[in-house]
Amino acid sequence: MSINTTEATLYLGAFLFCIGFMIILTRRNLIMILIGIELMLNAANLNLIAFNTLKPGSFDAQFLMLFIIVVAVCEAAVGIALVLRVYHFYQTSVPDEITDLKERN
Amino acid sequence: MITYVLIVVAAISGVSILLMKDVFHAALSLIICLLSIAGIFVSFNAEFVAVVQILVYAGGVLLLIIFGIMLTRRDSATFSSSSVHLYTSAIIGLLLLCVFVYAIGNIEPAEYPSTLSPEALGRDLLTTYLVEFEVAGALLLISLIGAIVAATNLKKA
Repeated sequence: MSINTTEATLYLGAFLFCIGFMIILTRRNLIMILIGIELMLNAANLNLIAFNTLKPGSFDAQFLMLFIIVVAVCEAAVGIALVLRVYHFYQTSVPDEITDLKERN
Repeated sequence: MITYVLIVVAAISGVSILLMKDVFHAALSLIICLLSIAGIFVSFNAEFVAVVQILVYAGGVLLLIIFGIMLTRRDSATFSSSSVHLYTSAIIGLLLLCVFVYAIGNIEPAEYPSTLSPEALGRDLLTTYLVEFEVAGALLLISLIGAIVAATNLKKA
């Protein structure tokens, strides 16, 4: 069974998306959660570039990828700023320990 | 051929992000993963997006993430303590992967697209996609100002 590059890229996108999802679920660190989100956004970009081969002569996917990258940069900047703020306030970057809204004391 | 090598490198570095104990090592693996994804973009004739990927992701976002790690790191990033949590997330991830693989199996693969030159891309960006371009610029400005305001302590300054 032979796989061409388009299919292989689609499989890589699905794989990286699941990896990012599992990173978000299993890690106990806010920065690792941001890394997982970046990985999932890149998996979406891989899907876009692979599906663009189904429609030759159209380049909509490349423009959409550029805008996804812009939004990802905004998300990373605001996310890191919020992580730093939370770290200064709680002195921890473990999301399980930030439970002020859950516990009443 | 080199595309397959890049795909394998990206997959391996993705797994190593998941398995690395240290956050800093995970960030370094993320750099390798993003660079190989940029190489895959080149093999799909999307050179401009690949350059943007290297400049913005491997340059900018990773710099932000590494600064974030250095400013917050005190406890090393261990995995979630409860094993039920770990098993559940592994099962959910594998189920998601099965769904994706099943869906991809139904797709008819096609040939490569013709290449898009950077000047044609720039012309389209400033004519057809002008509104989106301006909205993206405004979003970038607003979110960066917001990030600066959120990260600075206004009472002390």
